[in-house]
Amino acid sequence: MQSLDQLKILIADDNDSDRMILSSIIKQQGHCVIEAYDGINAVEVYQRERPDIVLLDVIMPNMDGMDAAKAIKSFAGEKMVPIIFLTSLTDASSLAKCLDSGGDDFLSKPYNKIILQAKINAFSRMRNMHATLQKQRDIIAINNKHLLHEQQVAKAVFDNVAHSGCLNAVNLKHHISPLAIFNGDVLLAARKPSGGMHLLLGDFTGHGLPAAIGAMPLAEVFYGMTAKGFSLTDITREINAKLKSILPLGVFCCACVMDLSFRKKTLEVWLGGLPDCYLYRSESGTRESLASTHLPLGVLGAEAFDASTTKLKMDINDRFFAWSDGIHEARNANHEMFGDERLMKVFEQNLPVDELFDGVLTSVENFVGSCEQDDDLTLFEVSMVQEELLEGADISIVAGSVQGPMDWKMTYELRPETLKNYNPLPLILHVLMEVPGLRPISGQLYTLLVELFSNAFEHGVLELDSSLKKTSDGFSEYYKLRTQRINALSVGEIKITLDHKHTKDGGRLIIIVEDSGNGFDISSIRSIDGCTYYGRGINLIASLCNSFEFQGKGNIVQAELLWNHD
Amino acid sequence: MSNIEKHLDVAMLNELKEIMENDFLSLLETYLSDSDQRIKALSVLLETTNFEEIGQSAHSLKGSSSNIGAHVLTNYFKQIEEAVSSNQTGELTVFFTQAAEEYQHVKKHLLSLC
Repeated sequence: MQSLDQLKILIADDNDSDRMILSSIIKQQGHCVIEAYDGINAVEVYQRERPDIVLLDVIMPNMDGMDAAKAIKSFAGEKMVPIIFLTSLTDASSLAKCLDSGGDDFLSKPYNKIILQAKINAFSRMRNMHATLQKQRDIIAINNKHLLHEQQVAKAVFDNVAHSGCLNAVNLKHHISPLAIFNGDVLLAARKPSGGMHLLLGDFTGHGLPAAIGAMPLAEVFYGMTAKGFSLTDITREINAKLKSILPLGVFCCACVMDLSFRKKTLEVWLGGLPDCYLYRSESGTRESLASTHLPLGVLGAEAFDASTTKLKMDINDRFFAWSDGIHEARNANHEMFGDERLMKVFEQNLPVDELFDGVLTSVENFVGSCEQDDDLTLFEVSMVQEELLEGADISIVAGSVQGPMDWKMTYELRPETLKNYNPLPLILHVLMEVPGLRPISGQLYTLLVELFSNAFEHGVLELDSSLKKTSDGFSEYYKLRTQRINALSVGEIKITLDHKHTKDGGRLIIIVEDSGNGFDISSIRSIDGCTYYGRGINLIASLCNSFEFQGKGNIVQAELLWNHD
Repeated sequence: MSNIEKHLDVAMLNELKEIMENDFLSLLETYLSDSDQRIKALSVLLETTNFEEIGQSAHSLKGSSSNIGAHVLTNYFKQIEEAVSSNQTGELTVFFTQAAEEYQHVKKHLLSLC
């Protein structure tokens, strides 16, 4: 039988002839032999030579084999040193005692060469396996350390992104684990430059780094856009689009996004995928639920996404509660969940309004008991207060300019080739969004631009008649014609002019859209009521701006909007 | 059975020859000089009541004799060891005499192999 690799083997036997026989057997197998003549000598030689395997006679003078075995095993420490007892004992209890003292096997006298060699091979294989296991254990330990370090770095990056928030404002209470980011839980709060607050509670799917990674772009967009004065719907839409584009399939963020206005005493809420929120009215002591009406963020594409919000009236001291499902899904030792009913009960206990928040937490903690806490509890309370109670918003740290361009004029002229296949409106809107005062009305502006531009394009340039659209046959005829005329387009222009000026209270924007078409009889408009002359009609345009008028042949529209510092 | 086989396991000795190669004779010499010493020491011990040491000595001689193939001698030493452990120390001298005699046979045969 071939042996595996060369080993150093210690033979400890007080009998000279026995030692000689063993030594020869083992040398013949190709291994290297060192000898000892009693227990004390065996331990000494072990420490000095550090052999791979030890053969120990049980009964030796000065220190017997079993004590020597104990000593050798303790010197070996973590390293595996197989010890084979040499014995002519035959009774079971003595043999068992040998193994209990740290021996791994025994070899009886008279020595059998084949058996000894086989045992040495077996232990050699075991030693190799043990060494491999230890190496792998060490690699795993290093990898774990790296993972932990990565998480710490991720957390530090996230904290930097999130630090500009106002979670410590007097009207907010929150509970969230410091490492909640790795459970996918996020809590953001920011003062708006115009007053009021934007708030967000998010719960990403997954755990660990994958759950945390979506939180960074989310926080960036939330804080960045809030600071620049964008509306809640714009921000929610933007976050959804960003998450949809970067998160893999099946990863999304359940969220509650809120716009708190102290001036109007309202809370606007977008709720997608999280459990019901509660609104507690402090005067009557009653509780209303607000259920989720949307899919979580990051699921739907931009066209299908619904950014509509629910508007709630909040009086002073009314409280709005939002939470991740960690509360409902907290388990006790019997694997029961805390659930909706227990949560509702907390609000029926007639607690003073200030104690509701802690009441919820205590109730969950008592329920879970001494069971291993997941610490997956994220709880948020928003109170309506007098705005003066809040510390001044620190606008200086806010990213981006506060003023923006206030006094300017810009003209964009589009010729046939471009009109065929380019939509200039996103760019126009982008230019307008550079003015902070226009950001809150971005939706309104965009709708107005779409109206004016499509009228100019379809009626002015393509000379389509919108009365066709009254019947369903005419409808498809209209769009067939539209496509034909676009493909054939070779003459025609649209000119868009933007003119913005500073005013005492804020700013004034003039939008002029001029097309190269024949226009229409302006005077006919006064008599048309809710007319359908141009697409959806003049009433829509009228509702989107402060004033407007047709000029020239009717091929020029000028609309004026005013905005105030809110 | 030939004479040598009454006292020694010849097959085992042949195997030992293979294992020891050039050191076979050296092994026999070592065994014989070691055993001479131990048996002399044992006879002295028997005049004491140090039964524990008697037992250990017999145990050791039993082991080395088994390794050399002296099966009968091994049993005699085993007898002594068991008498000590079961506290039947009356027969010890008789058992020892048996062992000592058998040893002489073994010695004679081993020397003839040198």
